[in-house]
Amino acid sequence: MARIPPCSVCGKPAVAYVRPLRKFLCREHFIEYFNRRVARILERARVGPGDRILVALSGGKDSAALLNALADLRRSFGYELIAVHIDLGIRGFSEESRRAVEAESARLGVPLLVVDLREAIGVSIPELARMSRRPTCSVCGLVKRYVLNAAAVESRARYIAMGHNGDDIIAYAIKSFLGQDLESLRKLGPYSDSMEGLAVGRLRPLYMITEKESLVYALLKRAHINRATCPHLDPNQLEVVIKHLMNEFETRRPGVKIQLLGNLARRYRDYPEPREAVAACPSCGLISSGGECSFCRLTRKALGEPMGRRVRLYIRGKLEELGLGGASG
Amino acid sequence: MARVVVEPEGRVIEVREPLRVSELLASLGLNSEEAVVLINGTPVPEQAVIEGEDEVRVLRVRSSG
Repeated sequence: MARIPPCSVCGKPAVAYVRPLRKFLCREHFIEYFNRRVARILERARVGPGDRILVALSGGKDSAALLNALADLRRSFGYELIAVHIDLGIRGFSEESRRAVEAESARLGVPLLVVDLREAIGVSIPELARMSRRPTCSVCGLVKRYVLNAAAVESRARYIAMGHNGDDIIAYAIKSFLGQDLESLRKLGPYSDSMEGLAVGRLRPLYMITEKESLVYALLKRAHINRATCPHLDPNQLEVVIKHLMNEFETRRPGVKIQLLGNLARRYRDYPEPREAVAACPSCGLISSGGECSFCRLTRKALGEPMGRRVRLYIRGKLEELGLGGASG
Repeated sequence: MARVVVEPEGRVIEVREPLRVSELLASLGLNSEEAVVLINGTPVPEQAVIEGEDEVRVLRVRSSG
C-alpha cells in the first residue's frame, strides 16, 4: 500500500498539498478549502438570497467543479442556480459533453437549459466557421459569449458564473499584456457588473483556484466530465503555451501564480475603461459597441440574416418549458 | 514493480517501487502542476510514495478547449 502523507488538519490520508496554506489536505478538508475560496469570491461579489446565478457548463472539469461548489454553497448563500449548456454540434466531442452536463446537473438537482445551436440558428460551430470564413475557435468564443449573455438576460440572472480557473485568468492576462490590450485586463476581475437589459455581469468563482485543484475537486466529487479535448483546440494556441510556461515558472518560484492572481484581483480596476460606447444592438437589443453586435454581424454575413433575436426567442421558449420564464421584450 | 497507466494515451508502464510520485512525474517529463496522480482511484500529493500492489493512474491537467 502507498505511503501517503497525512492531512495536516485531521491526520487522514492527504489528497493534495495546498501550497498557499502550506498544508496537506484530505478529501474532506480539500473540499472545504476549495468551497471556502469560492465563497470568498461570492462574498466579494455580494451574492445573496434571491439572486439567480446562471452557471455555464461546458462538460469539462472546471465547470463541473464550479457547479458542485455552487451547489454545496447554495443553502448558506440562498441563491438559485440554473445551469446552461451550449451544444456546439462538434461531432465526436459535443455529444459526450452534453451527456456529462445532463448527468451532472440532474445529480445535483440543478435545472438545465440546453441551447442546441443547430436548433437555434440551424448550423453547428464548424459549419458557421466555414460559412463565415473565420477560425473555428474565434467563432466559437464569439457565439458562446453571445448565447450565455442572452440566456442570462432572458432568465433574469444576476450573474453568469464561468468556470475560468486561475491558470485561465493568468493566460488571458498575459496574452492581453503581450498585445498591450490593457482594456481587456480591466475585464479580468473576479466579477463584473451588469448593464441593465444589455449584459449580465460575469462571476469567476474559481479565480483563486488552479487548474490542477479544479481537476482534483471534480474527481473527489465524482463529477461526470468529458475528459476529451476539443478537436479544434490548437496545442500551440498562445493561452496553452502561456499556461505551460507559467507552470514551469511556478516550479522554479513556488507561489508565483497565486501571487499574480491576488495582485490582479486587487488592481484590475486600475486599467483603462473601454473607449467604445456601449449601446443596444438594433437587431437583437443586447450589448453592442456601436451598430449591430458582433453575433448579429457574423450571422448576417454567414447565414444571410442576423440571428440574435431568434436566439433570444429560442431561449425564452426553452426557459418556459423548464418553468423558468424570465424577461420580456 | 508497480503498474502505471498514463492517460490520455492509456500507455502502461512498469516502475520500480518504492517510488515517490514527484519522481514518477519527472521520469515521464511532466510538470507536477500539469498532472494528477491517482493511487487506487484516489488523488494523492506528489510527496506520496508508490508501493508494489498499487494501481496508479496519471491524468493530465488540461483544458478541454
